Amino acid sequence: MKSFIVACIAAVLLAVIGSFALSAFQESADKAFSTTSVRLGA
Amino acid sequence: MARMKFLCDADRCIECNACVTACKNEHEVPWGINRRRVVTINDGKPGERSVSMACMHCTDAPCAAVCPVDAFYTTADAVVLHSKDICIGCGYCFYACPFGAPQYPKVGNFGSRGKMDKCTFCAGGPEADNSKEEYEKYGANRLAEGKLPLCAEMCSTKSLLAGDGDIIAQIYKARVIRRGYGSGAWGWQTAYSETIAT
Amino acid sequence: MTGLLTRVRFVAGALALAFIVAMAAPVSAQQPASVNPTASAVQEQQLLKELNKIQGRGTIPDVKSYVLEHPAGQEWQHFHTVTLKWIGAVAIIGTLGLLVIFYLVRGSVRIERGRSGIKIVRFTGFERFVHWMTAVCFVVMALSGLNITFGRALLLPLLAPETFTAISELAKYFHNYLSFPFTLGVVLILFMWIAGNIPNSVDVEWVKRGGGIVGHDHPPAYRFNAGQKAIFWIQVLGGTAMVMSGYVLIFPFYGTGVAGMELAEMVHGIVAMLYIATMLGHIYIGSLGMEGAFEAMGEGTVDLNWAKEHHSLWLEEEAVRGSGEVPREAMTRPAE
Repeated sequence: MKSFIVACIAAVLLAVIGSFALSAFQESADKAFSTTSVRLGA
Repeated sequence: MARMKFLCDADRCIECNACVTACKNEHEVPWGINRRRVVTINDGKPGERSVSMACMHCTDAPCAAVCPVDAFYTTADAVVLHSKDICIGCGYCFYACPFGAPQYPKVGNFGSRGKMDKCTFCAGGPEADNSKEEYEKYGANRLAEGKLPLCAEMCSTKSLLAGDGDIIAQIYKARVIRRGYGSGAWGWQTAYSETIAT
Repeated sequence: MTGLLTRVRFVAGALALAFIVAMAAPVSAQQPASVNPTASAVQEQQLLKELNKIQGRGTIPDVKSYVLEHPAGQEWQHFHTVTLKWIGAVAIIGTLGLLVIFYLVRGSVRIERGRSGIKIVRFTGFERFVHWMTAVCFVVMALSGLNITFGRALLLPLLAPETFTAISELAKYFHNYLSFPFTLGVVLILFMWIAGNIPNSVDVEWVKRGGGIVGHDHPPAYRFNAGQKAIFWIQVLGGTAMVMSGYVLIFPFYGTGVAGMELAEMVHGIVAMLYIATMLGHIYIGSLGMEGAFEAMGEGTVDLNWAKEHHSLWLEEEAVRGSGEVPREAMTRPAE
């Protein structure tokens, strides 16, 4: 049971971290709208 | 009832992009997004042709068929519109569209798209005609005022025709007969399963 | 004198006129009778026949917009709304139906000698953590993914459009973000259990003897029997296919055009339906289908008699290892 709870928490945590990490990679809107594809950048 | 269509006379289009500019201005389309665009085929070579393309408002629209949340609807004038409140930004309508009409102006998390935006034939959306909410989401509603789309109105050479399909087909046919040539109604076979014999 | 000049001027003038007329004649002869500007023009249907796509040049940075027409989008639409639905319905409902019939006919696989009361460790805490993290992500992603294919037909008629949109939007975010822990899970499962999942001759014998599920035999098996090895490889290969096609889909047009995105969606959809159907079988056998199986993953320990009947060779290995978990006296005789 414990491993199940920890697993759920870990899944949610990794998902949230992933979302924040990728947001940080997001390009600013003016750069985003002038390029094609997924608009990721440093 | 009128069945609205677009027809771009590729032999008259001079790639001036007035249609693109008119649409962007009329509907306050966000920077970098184009509901309408001009594509030039065989650029610089003999037989170069330019075609202005936005949404063709297809019969049996594939975008409406594939949408997982059923966000599209077709008006009595056969204009294909959608609801930005229902759209979840999955992007499938762009994959299904033969003409690449759907755009996704809102920049979301990594590749995530915001609500879909596309040419509305200047017919707005589900909100009340010519209301502030409708303008903010979908742009101007010219059809409700009895006007035709601004792109065709602003076309400098009258190559882009918009209106009842039978009428614009007639105009195009008369043109072709008078001048003796015409490369056909681009996109009509794919969108409406019909062609204009030239 | 004047007479000569006049004659010279006259002749010069006549020559000049003749010259001009002579020049004009060939020039007018070069002009064609009528102009056909479309003689070298591109034809829409011809271009479509050649490439099934019409592409040109534009003046905006969005390169995707340079594709004027690609009718393949309509074919993809037909695949997604018709073909994929059929594949999914047959695979999933078919599997569920078979499982129901199987359970009614065969029933649960029982521990024939009854529980001994002695428990031995089968899966460590870490193994169970990885399994459950992957499993939870799988279930949520399966449901949210199925919503994209079937939601409009099955769920939308029961709800208000705004409610269905809210659910679908939330489902989309869960689906996209849970892909990260799921990917980690797939990788960890691969490294954790690949050693025990290489097929060998014992597996061939196990299958030949019905695996204990067809009939009431108890063929020997190591830690993972042939059925479990099949699930392992389906999980690893199917999971990898899902992860790779999935990342193409959530980073749209990152190195691929619209045709690539359509292909990724088709792979993602077809593999998903088959993967879900297979996992339904796995979930069945790990819960309803076999007495004493769930606790292996739920608590980490299994009953000694269960181990004797289903994984006798594993039990021997554990006893020989002398881990202290398996009492030597229990290993008097392997299960028949």
